[in-house]
Amino acid sequence: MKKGVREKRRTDKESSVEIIQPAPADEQLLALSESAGKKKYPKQTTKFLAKEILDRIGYGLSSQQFINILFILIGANYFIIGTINGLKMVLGVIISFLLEKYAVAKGISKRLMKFSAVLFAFSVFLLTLAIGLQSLALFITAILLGGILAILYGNLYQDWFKENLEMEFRGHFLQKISYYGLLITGASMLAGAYLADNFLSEGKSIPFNLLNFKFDLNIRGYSIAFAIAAVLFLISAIIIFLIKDKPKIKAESEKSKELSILSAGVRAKLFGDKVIVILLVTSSLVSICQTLGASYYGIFIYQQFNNTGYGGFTNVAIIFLIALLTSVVGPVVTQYNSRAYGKFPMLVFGTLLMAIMPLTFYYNPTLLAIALATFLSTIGASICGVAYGMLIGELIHEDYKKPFVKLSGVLTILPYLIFVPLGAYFAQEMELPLFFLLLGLILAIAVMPLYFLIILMYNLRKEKI
Amino acid sequence: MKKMKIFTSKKGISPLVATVILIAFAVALGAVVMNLGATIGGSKISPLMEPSECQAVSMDLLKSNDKPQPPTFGGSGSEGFIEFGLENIGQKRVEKIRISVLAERGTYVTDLSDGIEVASQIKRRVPYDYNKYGNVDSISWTPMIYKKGNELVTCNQRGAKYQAGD
Repeated sequence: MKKGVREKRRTDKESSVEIIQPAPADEQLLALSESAGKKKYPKQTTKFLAKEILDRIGYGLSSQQFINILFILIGANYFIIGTINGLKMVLGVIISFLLEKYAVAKGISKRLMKFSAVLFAFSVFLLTLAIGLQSLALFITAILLGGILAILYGNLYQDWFKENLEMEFRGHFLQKISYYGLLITGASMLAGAYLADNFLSEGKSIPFNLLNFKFDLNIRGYSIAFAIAAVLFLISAIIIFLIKDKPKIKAESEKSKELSILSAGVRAKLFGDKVIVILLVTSSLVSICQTLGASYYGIFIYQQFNNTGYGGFTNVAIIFLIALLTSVVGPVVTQYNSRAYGKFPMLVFGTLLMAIMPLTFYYNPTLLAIALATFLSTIGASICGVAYGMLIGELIHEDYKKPFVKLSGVLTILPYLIFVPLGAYFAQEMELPLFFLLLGLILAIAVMPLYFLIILMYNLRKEKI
Repeated sequence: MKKMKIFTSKKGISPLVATVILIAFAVALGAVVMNLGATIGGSKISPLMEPSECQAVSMDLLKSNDKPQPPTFGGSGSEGFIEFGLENIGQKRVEKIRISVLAERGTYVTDLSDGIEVASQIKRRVPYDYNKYGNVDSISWTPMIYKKGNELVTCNQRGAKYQAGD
């Protein structure tokens, strides 16, 4: 029981937006009974749990790597794929930024979250339809719409979830959903790949008439996987509608006390410190390389190993399953090592590990080597992420940290809009292996020296002090 | 005693030294990964690694005066087509042919479901949408055969290829 109380305190501290007071009826409903030695969780927990599981299965079935492969199969070229993925990222940053502002000003809109969940399911339906009709324009529309709605729904849902189900009512599975969720996503990704490789690989054509327009719907295994994902997302959205909101009493918003990202203090902190500016430039460069690489890795594996190993989609699923599972251990490895080696050296090390993946695609494109490179690269990305976070914590005062993170996100929009299409153009003009070589070299030869420069500048500054 | 001091000392190494050590470690890891297939054999596509059934398969473009005849491109817009001739010069019936057209705006992939008997030739015309894919850069015809258990196998190294401008 003591543990429960401690966790509740922590939750209260975390949810700084509003103080929520459950109504008496809810208190009864949410009562945690331990009388029989077995915990009973409220109905809400089961609903949240079902929703989470359905979502995770859906994410696996409609994995981003599958979307990229289908992109090329319905006739897009590398330039379009890279540019649309970059655009999706930019839209995601803008939506997150607006959402943060909106939430601070008006509180979290539950209605918006619920409807974005339904619309997200429909965007996956649209994607399925685009695949069936082989319509590139519809496919791009569905991807962008889905990208925006996923951010909108994901961000709002997290806050709503914290509000409606405190830590002690979540149960073991929901508390550890980030870990179990990865396993569910991985398993469903494999199932989706199996469907795509083994069912209706020839395709089944279904002609139909709509408003005097003739359409020819081509059903294949991967269309079925996406259709199942869409149905699961829709059921998950319906479950959200079934969850009763907790009545709440609004309290003074602590977030409103946060510094604006446009305040003079934040700008001075950001642009006045050369170390921070170089750190921002390098992290943007790494992020652009990652976005471009992730757009083409799956396509390359699919094309190169379509008739080798387990089959086109399954090979891709296995490789990215490795990345998925590695992402769990990555942060642990990083935190342990950063204590031993320091944060800056870990940043350089992480970047070099990340460079191994694209370089392997060029120098040794075998499934085994790619699998190992994926493992190392995921650990590298995790190292960079954790080390970057720790460094920001060291370089920037606590008050400026949140606005800085937001501002750095917004500042990456412009480089993204310029360099992602440029990179996609290179991918189109060069062959993919050569493009991967370029990405690897950018990470190893351009980014790494910048980190070295940061280390030298930081050390010089420390000596002066 | 000095050796013991190194291991028990609580003094950390300088960031610069740590960076150099970690770079060396990352380069070593990279070298191992990039040479992995060379030592224990990965699934790099090479004639030696292809399914054994493919070894009796060979297909090429129809020849005229010992020169492969390039495909012809006809029609326009979405009503376009590609016409070509193929011959089976292997020892096994080709069950299906995968045609992959690499074009300006993407890759168009289609399968020909009728095969070619041994020592036979076919001429076919496949529809091609110029509006969607643009001008053709290259075309590859890949033979597919049945192996035990009626499973289709693609023989990547045994087909024909056409490169625009050749």
